[in-house]
Amino acid sequence: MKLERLGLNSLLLTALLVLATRAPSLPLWLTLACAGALMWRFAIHSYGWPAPHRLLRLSLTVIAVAATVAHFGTVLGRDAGSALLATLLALKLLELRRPRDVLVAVLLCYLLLLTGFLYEQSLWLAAYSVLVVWLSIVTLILINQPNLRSARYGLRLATVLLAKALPLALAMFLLFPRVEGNLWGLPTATGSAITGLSDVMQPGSVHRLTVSDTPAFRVEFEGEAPKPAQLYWRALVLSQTDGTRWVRGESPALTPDSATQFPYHGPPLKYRITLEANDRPWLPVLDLPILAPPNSRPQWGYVYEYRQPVRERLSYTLASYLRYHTGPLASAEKRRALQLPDKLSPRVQALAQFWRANASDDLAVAQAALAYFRREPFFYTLHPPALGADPVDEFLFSSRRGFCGHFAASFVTLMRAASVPSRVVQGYLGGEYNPAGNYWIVRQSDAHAWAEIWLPKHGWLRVDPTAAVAPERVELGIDAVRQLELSGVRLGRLPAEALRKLIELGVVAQSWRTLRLYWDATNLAWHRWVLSYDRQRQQYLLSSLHLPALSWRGLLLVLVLALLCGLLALAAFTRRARPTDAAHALYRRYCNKLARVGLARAPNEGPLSFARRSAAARPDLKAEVDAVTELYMGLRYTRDCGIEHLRALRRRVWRFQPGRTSPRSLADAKAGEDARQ
Amino acid sequence: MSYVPEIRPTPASANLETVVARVGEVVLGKEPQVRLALACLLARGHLLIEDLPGVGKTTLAHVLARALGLDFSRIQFTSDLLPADILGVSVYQTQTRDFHFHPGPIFAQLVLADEINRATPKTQSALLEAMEERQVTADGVTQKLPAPFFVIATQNPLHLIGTFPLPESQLDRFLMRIDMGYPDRQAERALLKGRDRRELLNDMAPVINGDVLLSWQKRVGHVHCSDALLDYVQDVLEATRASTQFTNGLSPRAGLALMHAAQAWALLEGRDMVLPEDVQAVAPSVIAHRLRPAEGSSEQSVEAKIKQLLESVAIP
Repeated sequence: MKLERLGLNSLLLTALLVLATRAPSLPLWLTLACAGALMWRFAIHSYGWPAPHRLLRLSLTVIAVAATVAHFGTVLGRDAGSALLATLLALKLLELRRPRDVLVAVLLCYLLLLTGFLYEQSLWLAAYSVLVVWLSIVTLILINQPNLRSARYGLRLATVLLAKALPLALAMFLLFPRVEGNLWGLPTATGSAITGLSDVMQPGSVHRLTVSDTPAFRVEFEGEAPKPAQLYWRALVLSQTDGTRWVRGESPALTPDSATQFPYHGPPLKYRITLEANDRPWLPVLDLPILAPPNSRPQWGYVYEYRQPVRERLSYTLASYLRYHTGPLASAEKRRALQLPDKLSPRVQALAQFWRANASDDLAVAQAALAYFRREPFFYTLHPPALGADPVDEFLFSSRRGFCGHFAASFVTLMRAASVPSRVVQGYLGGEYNPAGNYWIVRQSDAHAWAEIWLPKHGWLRVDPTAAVAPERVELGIDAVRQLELSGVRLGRLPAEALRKLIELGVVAQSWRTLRLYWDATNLAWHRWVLSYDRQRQQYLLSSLHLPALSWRGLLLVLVLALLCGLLALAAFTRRARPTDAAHALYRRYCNKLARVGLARAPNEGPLSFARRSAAARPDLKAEVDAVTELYMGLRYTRDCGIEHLRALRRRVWRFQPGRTSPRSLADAKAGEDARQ
Repeated sequence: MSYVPEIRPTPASANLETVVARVGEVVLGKEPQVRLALACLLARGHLLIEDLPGVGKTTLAHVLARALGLDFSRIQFTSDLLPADILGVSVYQTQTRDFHFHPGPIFAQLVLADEINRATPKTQSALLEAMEERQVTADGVTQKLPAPFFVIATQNPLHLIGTFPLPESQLDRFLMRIDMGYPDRQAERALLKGRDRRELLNDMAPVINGDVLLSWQKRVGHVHCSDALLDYVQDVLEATRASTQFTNGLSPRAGLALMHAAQAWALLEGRDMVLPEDVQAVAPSVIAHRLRPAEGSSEQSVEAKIKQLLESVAIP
C-alpha cells in the first residue's frame, strides 16, 4: 500500500512536535541531526528526493547509535535513554515504506513523549501531550485509510476516538494501583535547588537583599484564615551567635514530649501546606502544631526537620495553636538562650544593663527595647549598608538601617545582655491570598526573622522588633515594602491609608496579578489531584464512594475484571444492536449534509424519491447518492443485511461531502456546457 | 464495490415490464393505471374502475386478459340482471334425470363486470360474494372458481341516472379503485391516428399464462416488509383514524390491503422489499374508496385529502 502524502506530513508534524519538547535536553548535534532527518523525509515525499539506500541507512544507524552511546557513555538513564529514542525516531523517519513503519514511528513518538515527563510534570506538558497524541491518531487514520479524501474526516474521527477513550483513561487513572512514592519515582536533580532560608544568619554582611518571587509553599486553611499579621511561619530557630553570625548551635537533648506537648488554649487551626522543593529539610509550620508533620524529626524550639532535604513537592496537614504556654525552661535550654558572643561591645552591654536596672521584670525590658527602636531613628530598608566587625554595635548606634535580620539579631543580643532568655526565629511572614483557589501563597521573598523571649508567665513569646520600626512589613507584606522603597518613601512614617493608596495597583497590573493567581491555583489543583494522587488519596476516593478499601492486588483484580466485563458487554451490545437503527441515524446525517447544500428531504419523502430528486438536482453527486441510498434501503428495508453493509454505509456517509464539487464533476459539467454551445 | 447489496432484478420483473409495455401499446398514455391494475391483480385483489363511458375501461380489462393469457368473460350489468345470469344455472337433464350445472360467465379467470352499479343490489352482492369466496354455491353444490381469478368492475359516476351505488361495505371488497381519466393530447392523437383497438387486441400475443401469474402472486407474499416499513404503514393508518377529515379511519383489513398492494407494487418495480414509496404509490387507490369525508370538513375531494394526509405522515 502506498503511503499518502497527507498522512506522512501529519506524521512529520507529530514527530516535530515531540522532538521540540525534547530538544532542550538533547545534545545540539543530535537536535540538528533530527531536524535534518525530518527535512530529508519531507523532501522525499514532497519533491521526489531519493530515499536513502539500505546500506546508507544501515551505516547511519550504526553511526548515530554509536555517537549517542559515546556522548553519554551509557544507554541507561533518563538523558541517554531519551537521546537514543530521538535517534531511533529520526532514523525511522528515513525508512517509511509501509503503514507498519508509520506505526513504529508513532510508537517511538509516544515513548519519546513519555520521557518528557521524567523531566517535568507540568500541566503544559500534559496538555501538549494530549495534542500530540491526537495528532498521532490522525496520522494513523490517514495512513490506514489512504483513499480518504479530506483530512477533516481524520481530525473528527481522532477526536471521537480520544473522547471515547477518555472515560477508560480516567477510570484507569483513578483505580490503577498506586505504588508509594512520587508519580515517576525519580528524584529531581539536586542542582536545581532554590535558595530560600539558610541556617546561618549574617545580617551585617548583606547589603542588598535579593528577593525571589518563587513560591516557597502554599497553604490551605480549613475554615477561616488568621489575619496576615498573625501568619508567622516558623522554620528555624537560631540560638548561637559569635557576634556576627547566628547559627542553630548544639541542640539540647529532646524528649519526644518536650518537643510536642504543651498547654494550649482556644480552637486549633487546621491547614494543609504544599511545600515546594527547596533542597532544605526545614518544614515551615504556623506557631505550634500539636503533631509533627509525617516523616519529620522535632527540633528544639518546636520546629521540624524532614528526614531528608525536600527535593520534590511535599504536602502535609497540620493543626496549630496560636495561643499556648510552653512551660518552664530547663537549665540547658536556659544556658543556650542566654549565650552571648565572647566580645560584647560595652555600649550594648551598658544599654542592656540600664534597661535591666530600670525594669521590674523581663517583659518590661523587652518593652523598653521596642520603645528604643521606635524612638530612635531606625529605618527599615532592603538595601542596608554593609557592617564591620561588630555589626550589632554598629547597627544599634550608628547605621540604624536594616531589615528583619538586623533587628532580630540586635534585639536578641540586647535581651541576652539583659539576662532575658531569647532566640532568633527564621521563617516566613504573611503570604498572598489567592481567591481563585482559596489558599495562600508564601514566597521566598516573604522570608522573615524575628525574636522570641522566654517569660516565666508566658513561656516562649514572639516579639517582632521589625514591627516596631516598620509595621507595614507585617501588615502589608513584603511586596508593599518593595514598592515603597522603589518610590522612595521612608517606612514607618506614613499613616496606613496613605500607604495603601501609594501601593494601589493599576488595572493592567491588577489583572495580570489576578491571572497569575488563577494560573497558580490551576497548577496547585493539578499537583494535588493528578501528580500527588497517591494510595492515600485513592483509598479516600474509594471510601467516599462507599467502596471497600482494597489492597493493590485486589484493585488490580477488580480493574481487570471490570475491563473484561466491559469488553464483553460491548461485544454483546454491538452484536445485538439493530443495524437498521444505526443505518437510520447515518441516513439522517447524510440528509443533513444534503440539506446544507439546499437539498432538504421532506419528512414524507422516501429514500428512493429523495435520491432521484437529489441526483436530478446535482448530477455530480449521483454515484454517491445512489450508493448511499442503496445501502440504506438494504439495511432498513430488507431482511438480511449485515454489519459490513452498515460499515460501508458509515464510511460513505462520513466521506460524503456534497458541499465540495470534485474536479472531475466540474470538468464534466464544463464539457456538457461546451457541447451545448 | 462488493459491499453494495445487489438488488437482483427478479426474473418476474423483466416479464412484468413486458406486460406493461404490451398493454401500453393498446391503452395509450395510461401507464400509471395499467401498473396499478397489474399490482392489484398481483396482490390477488379486485379492481374497480370508475369513470365515464368510453375512456377505455373495457379495453384495459380486455388487453390485460389478453396479455396475461387469461380467459376472459364480460358481464354487462343491467337493472334486470339476475344472480343466476352471473353464477350459472342448474338445468334438468332428462337423460340423466338430474340437474346439471351450467356455469355462468363468472367462471373465467378475468371477469369484466361492466357498469356494476346498473344492477340491483341483489345481483351486485351475488357477484361480490363470489369475488370474496372465490367459489360459487348453487343449489347446494359448491363450485370453485378458476385460479387466478380477477374481477375488474367498472362503474359510472354516481350522478348518472338509473344507478344503484355500491354500499361502502361492498366497496371494501375491491382492493383498489382507480380513475381512467381522459387521455392527454398526444395519446389521443395517437389513438385517433392508429389502428382500431379491437384489431390490435386480436393481433396481440399473450406474454405469459395463468400459471406464471399464479407464481408471481405467490412471490408477492415474499416481498419483505421490514419493521421500519410496517411502522410507516401503521402511522398512515393511525393518521386516517386521528384525522377529522374522515368519518371513520381505516380498518385493519384496509391496512392489510395497503400492505399487500404495496408488496405487489414493489414486485412490479423489481424489488424484493417494500419501500415507503411503494406505500405512497398505491395508497390513494387503496384508501380513497374506503374513506368518506366527514360532514362539515373541507370541500376538497377525498383524493386531495388523502394526498394531504400522506404528506403529513413522516417516514420513520
